[in-house]
Amino acid sequence: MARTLTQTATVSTKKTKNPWQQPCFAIYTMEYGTYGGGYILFDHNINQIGFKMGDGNYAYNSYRTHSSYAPEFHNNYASSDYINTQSYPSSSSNYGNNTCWVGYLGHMFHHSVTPSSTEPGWIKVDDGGYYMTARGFRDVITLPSEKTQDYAIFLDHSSSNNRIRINSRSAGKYFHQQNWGWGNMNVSCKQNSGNAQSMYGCGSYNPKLKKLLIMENFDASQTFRVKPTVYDSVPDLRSYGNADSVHANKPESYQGASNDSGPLYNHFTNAAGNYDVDRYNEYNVNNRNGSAESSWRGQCVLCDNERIVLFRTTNGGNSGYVITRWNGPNEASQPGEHNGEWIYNTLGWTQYGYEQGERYGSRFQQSSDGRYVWLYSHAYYYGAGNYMCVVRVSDGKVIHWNYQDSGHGWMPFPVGKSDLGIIASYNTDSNNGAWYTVQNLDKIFAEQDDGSQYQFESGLQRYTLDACGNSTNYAVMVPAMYDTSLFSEPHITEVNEPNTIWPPSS
Amino acid sequence: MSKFAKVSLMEPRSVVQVFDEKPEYTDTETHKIVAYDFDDSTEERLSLAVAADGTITNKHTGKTKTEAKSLNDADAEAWVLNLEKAKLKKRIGTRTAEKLEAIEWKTQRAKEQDYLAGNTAKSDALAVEKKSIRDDGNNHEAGVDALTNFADAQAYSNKPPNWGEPTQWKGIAWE
Repeated sequence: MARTLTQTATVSTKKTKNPWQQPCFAIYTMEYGTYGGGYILFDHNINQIGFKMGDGNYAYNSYRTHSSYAPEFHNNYASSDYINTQSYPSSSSNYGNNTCWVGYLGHMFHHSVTPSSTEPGWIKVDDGGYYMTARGFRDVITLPSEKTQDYAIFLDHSSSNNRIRINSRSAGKYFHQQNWGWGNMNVSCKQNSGNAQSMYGCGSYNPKLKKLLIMENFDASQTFRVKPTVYDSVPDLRSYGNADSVHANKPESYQGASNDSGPLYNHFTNAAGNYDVDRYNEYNVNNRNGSAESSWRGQCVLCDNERIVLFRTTNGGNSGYVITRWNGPNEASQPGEHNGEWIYNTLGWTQYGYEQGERYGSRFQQSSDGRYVWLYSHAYYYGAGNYMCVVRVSDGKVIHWNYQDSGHGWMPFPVGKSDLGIIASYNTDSNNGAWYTVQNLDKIFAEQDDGSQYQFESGLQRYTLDACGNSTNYAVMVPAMYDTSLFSEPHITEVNEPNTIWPPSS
Repeated sequence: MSKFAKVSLMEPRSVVQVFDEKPEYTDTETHKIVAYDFDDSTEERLSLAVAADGTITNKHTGKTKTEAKSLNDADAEAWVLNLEKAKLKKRIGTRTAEKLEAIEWKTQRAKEQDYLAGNTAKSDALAVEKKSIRDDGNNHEAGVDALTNFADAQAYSNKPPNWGEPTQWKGIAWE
């Protein structure tokens, strides 16, 4: 309380450091018993910038990977599935190469490195991932058009209240706050005369628009009925993230102050002029397969033209996904109504959502420059395959990927200015190394139809990204936390702004 | 019916998407489009087996969809169980090797003691001790072979019985 709200300064003149030379992702493998394993770190040019390998039974490397003299976590968890990389997701629940283990907050079971790191990565304890880091992955929301991605906004379900927390981009810090019940602010649901219910991580903050979207479950039951509430003229929430608190701007009080007070709380709760519950239509479709994940979670994007894209899985006895898009409220034709729906919900596979554990469910990541957000989920059981919806933030154009792999994890990561990288959990043995692909989203969005499917698994490359250890290993990819602002102006001059006018003129 | 399927040619080879019409797609070394009349009303997707050249066959032809699902569920359980058992056996082997390695220093000492005594008593005794360690590991691995469900495999220790017995070299805490 009572502190002046400030933002961490960003570099305002062109920086001499090449942003592509920042850490991008690490490849982790571990055959703990004999061959050992460790991390190899790569930058945004896919050049190697870090290496640390431990040994199994032969003391040639930096640390021992199991039993006596191993570091604490390796000593106690060496054979655990989440650490060893001797298999892939398929029907096993906890291997580290699950699709849903990675997201905006990095990797659930590994620390992400930063440009200040001197080491390429390290593990967490299994509980630290399953129950602690996982909660942040469940609750974090998208930040479309945000160039400086050094903070995170979290929406936690609490009946008819949205429990909002704003922290730095750290799942660990969020869990600490959430687990102790600290630092939240309860913003009441506005839809259905206040009888709607909050959801987990189903929101979007667009700093370019200065608007915050909170999706609400309309009739408080396990259905597909949702309706967006969008708040206008929202204060710069990044400054709250840098302050690590939604209460950072509250006045000093000598009489005790509730969590539900202060200017930010008042903006969302008491000032009815800051929102309009009927700006967007309700999405009310009942012929979908659905579980708790389908009803109480989802990933959404508030685009620059105020269109909204929502991605949800349909994992109630089946495996699939539904993408819904709303028109912006000021469009000439059908304002605020649905103008697109893409459905795949018929595959008779088991697909876990958060109801089977916080560590399962849909995730999102966004490009370094904030111009694209990809919303995704695994397709099979615990973490194999990938259903993905990539959204162009400027206009809400959608491209999706329907990859029903029952064996391997497909782990996405942002690379460069606006590209999407993917590592598949194929075997690194036989000199394959990690299998990767990098997709140029500007090119794909310029060439493909709105709402079309694209084969993001294409162009898999091997023989270049080595992995620690030399036996059968299925790679884990750990996204790095770098300074995303360096990928936008003034450090990089935009060479070709995409067409942001909707509908297109031709 | 779907007429085409995209298959992954990487292990485990599988069908990763089905299409009513042939999609625009350039085959790669890892993925290709193949013709297959998939009938979702009677076939289980996990029953589709993909050959190295991408050809699809249904390994449960003649079974109902429910029967095929049961067989696939059983396959999945067996896959997880076998994976766990393979890990257990590998770890037991590694632990046995560690224990033998830790008493390797006794070999030289036994040789010298036998040389001075003019017999092989110490070396014989050491050979017996080493054999008991190997037998211990082998017996424990045989116990892994007998496991029939995942819960029992998870509960099965990867440390052979009597693992905590003194090794006479105190440099390693065996537990």
